Amino acid sequence: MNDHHTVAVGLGELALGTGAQDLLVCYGLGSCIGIAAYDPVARLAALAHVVLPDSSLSHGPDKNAKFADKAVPALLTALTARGAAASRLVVKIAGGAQMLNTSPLASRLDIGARNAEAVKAALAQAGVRLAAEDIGGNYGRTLRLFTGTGRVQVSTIGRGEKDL
Amino acid sequence: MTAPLSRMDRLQIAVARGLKQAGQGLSEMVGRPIRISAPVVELVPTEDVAIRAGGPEQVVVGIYLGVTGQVTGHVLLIFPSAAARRLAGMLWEGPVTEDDLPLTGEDVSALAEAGNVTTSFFFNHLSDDSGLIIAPTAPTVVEDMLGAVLDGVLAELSLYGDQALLTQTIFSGPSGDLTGQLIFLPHLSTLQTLMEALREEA
Repeated sequence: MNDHHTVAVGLGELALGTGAQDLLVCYGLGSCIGIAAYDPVARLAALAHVVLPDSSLSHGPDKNAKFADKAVPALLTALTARGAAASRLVVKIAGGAQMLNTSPLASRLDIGARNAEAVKAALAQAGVRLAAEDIGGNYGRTLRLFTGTGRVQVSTIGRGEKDL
Repeated sequence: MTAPLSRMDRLQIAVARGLKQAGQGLSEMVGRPIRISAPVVELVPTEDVAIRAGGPEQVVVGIYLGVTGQVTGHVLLIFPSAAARRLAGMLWEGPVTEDDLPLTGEDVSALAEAGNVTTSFFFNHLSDDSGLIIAPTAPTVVEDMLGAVLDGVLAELSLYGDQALLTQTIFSGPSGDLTGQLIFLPHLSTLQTLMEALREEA
């Protein structure tokens, strides 16, 4: 992987991969969701790191991928502006775990399931098919999207890694 | 939110004293001296907390407790996996679990208790200084990537504001083998209450 140009996509961020060596990564997704989108013809990739389900929860200026309902349109716009076609996009998502499920405050912290639901709803509303998902549970995930190939890899601590 | 410097100073002092108490609590528990670094108390963008705490991909053991009462929010003790195993072994006086094996039930109980004791000392001191009721909930112990341990907490925090008050200190044992951090993340709405109360007491 050392030949790759790695771009870490932080909370609420959206990154575009245009070069064959670009590697977009969401590290340590817990309740957050990484949305990986790839156009195999235009060879364009984008990765969004969603934190919360709905922008009505916003307090003001926010990063454009923080909320699921805003992140999906922002991701599509970023890709299509560069020449990707929405109809060709292969979209895969990972994350949405409930990490602190034994805490007395677990219900207040259970944002993962709501995030997953909101991301799927936003994709459906945009008419984009979801090709694969690795969602839920109580463990973290790192999501890697390789721009050269569109490969999406999910790795965990103690639960191995796999391609989505 | 822009707090006048003097109020931030008072908060810094109260937090520093509270953390010293927390360190003493942990020291007594493990039966060896624990040093506490000068704490960092500052407002940072919520998205930056995991980066400031060591990076989202780092594998850690997190001991999480909610904070309830007149000041609410979250508190976590974060240890690298090996340090957490050593600490647990010292506490329950059993063999240290190997790094590539999951924490045992005894490890989890010992670490949960360490979380209880450390944060109780911390919040007792803040309560004494402010006259406010502040108490931690029961602890939850998880081992995973730091980003995953923190992101649900950060998402919840960001419902209260775009910035988080990051209170962070580093614990270390005599030979540097117990290095960990305590992170206190109050809801900004109740931080005001705490600052006001500290002023009255001063």
